[in-house]
Amino acid sequence: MPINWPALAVFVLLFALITVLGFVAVRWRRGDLDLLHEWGLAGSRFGTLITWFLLGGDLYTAYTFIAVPALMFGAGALGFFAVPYTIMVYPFVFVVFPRLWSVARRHGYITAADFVRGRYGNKWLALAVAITGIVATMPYIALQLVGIQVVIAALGIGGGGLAGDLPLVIAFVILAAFTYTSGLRAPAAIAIVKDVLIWVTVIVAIVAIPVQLGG
Amino acid sequence: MELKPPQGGTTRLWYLLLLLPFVAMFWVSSYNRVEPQWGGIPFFYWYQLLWIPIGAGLTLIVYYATRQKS
Repeated sequence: MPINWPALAVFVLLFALITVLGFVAVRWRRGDLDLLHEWGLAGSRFGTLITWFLLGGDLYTAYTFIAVPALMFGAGALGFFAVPYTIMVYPFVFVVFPRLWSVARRHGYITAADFVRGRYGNKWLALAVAITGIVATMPYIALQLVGIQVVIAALGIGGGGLAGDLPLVIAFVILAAFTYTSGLRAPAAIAIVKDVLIWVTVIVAIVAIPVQLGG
Repeated sequence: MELKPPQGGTTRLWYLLLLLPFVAMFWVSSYNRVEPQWGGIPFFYWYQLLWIPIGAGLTLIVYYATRQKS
């Protein structure tokens, strides 16, 4: 597949932009990033709007954009489960999460495992919750990486073996580096860019695809 | 900022509104059809998509109705 130069240029530019954003984000609502609370929760300094962007950028991501459409393409209407699921989850979260938040804030809990240990007083249960959380997140991250790989392949940068994997490795290393240094501030800053891009993509898709393919 | 559960039994009744999305979405036989179509899209799809703003609206109502007056 030949290299798609305009697409590649856009990709590299946007990636450079978010790399800069990711590293600069450490200065956003500055705090002492050696504290876990600052690194993991941005010191709770994020307000409603930024949290909206952050959640949107993380929830409406490779799962919503690639996995669910792929499922619908393959399995048909079954894939539409994602819509009622989301419709039901938000009211549920609305009722449950404020209480969780205030309890966690009062006791200084940062993760679900902290909360479990505080609530049930059992460190083994907390460990089990922590390990389950990490293991359960891995397929989700793997999905993100597959998504990036598909995008890179579509740009025409192909090839098998180690050289073919190199762009993905570089991308992942950069992402890991600025998340390590900036904590939650990095994904939050990038989520804003990501959300804008997603909005543009959705609007363009809704407009351009019917125009090209007719309805 | 401490969030307390709403005072008074009547305020908590608002939360029952949030059961509506669950009832509507689980009751699949109520929307498992093609007619009436809207712009060529079967009822099954546009009904579910319609519940997105309805659900958001209900959540908005419950949010304002159960806010603490501080």
